[in-house]
Amino acid sequence: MWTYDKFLQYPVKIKTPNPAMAKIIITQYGGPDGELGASLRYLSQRFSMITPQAISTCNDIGTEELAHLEMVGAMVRQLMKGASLEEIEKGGMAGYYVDHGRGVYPASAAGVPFTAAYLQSKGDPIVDLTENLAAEQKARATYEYLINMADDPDVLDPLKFLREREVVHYQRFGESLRIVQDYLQEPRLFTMK
Amino acid sequence: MEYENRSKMAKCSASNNCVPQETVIKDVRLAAAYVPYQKLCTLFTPLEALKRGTAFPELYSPYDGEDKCYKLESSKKERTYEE
Amino acid sequence: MKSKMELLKQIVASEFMKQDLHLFLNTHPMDKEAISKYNYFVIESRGLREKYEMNYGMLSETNSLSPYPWQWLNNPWPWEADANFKFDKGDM
Repeated sequence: MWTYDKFLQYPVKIKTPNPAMAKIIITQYGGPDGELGASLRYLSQRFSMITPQAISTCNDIGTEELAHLEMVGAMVRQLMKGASLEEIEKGGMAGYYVDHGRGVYPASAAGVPFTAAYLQSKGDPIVDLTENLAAEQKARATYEYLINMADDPDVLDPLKFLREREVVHYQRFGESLRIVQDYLQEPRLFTMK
Repeated sequence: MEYENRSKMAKCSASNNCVPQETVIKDVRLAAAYVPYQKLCTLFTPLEALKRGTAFPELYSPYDGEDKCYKLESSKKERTYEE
Repeated sequence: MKSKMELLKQIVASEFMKQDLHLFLNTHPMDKEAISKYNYFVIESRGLREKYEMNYGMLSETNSLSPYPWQWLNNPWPWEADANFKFDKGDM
């Protein structure tokens, strides 16, 4: 089960509203390669994962992704809060505004609402860990594209932090895949279902 | 462009010969993917680690963004397609 | 006595070391040194959190004592800019 600590994993302190930035950053909240998809993916896969190392990795990285989801939500909120209607309009967020005001809603940068179609949990440990390696790379690249588009250091710092986490997660899933591969090569006296 | 931006990080700590990863993988099989195991050598200090996004120097991979004004080489040439 | 934001900064940093070592240990369960470093940060973050909570408010949904009246619901919440610290030039 989960408990909540009343602080972000990394600080988000944005002084200047910027709806145009909110429009693209939101993709890491509810988009195809975002943190909601990541947490749901790993927290779902853990039920059928094998080897304690891989199970704990899925469990704990899935949990960390929820903390990242919170950070991205905080960024979107701080970028929208206090923005004028003119800024919202100029930033291309008029459509979002009429459906969600200055609030936070899980959707992609293009406005597509979040769907579980963004993730897979195949129940096969090799498939799932391979999917996870791909997911971490996609998330890393998305943060790089967001970093390319950003100017404000208050926005860049958390984006760079989140990008680095994806690199670390890739390494952990890579190690988990090694462990599972080695495990499956050993002669076993029972079949895995 | 993005790929080239990622710099290689220092492999060894100054004070000892610790290599923070395996450099050879034995008995590799076909149709399987292999990521080398990391090995613990040194850690960043907590505030350093927090700023960089990892406690491990060997996993630190900074990215500073693509220059907004830089046009990629290929966009200046006319496109031709080989048969 | 450190200021609220200074203490929070140290807590967040200590918690982060704990987290990164935790993930490392999940794939390196036999690494003695990593375990000892992990435990160090468990103890450090516990101490820092206790100090913070004595003076500045509850941090844990399940493990913090509350004065009267119930403090958990106080503003600001972590996603508000005011709840977050800034890094200084001198931070190392």
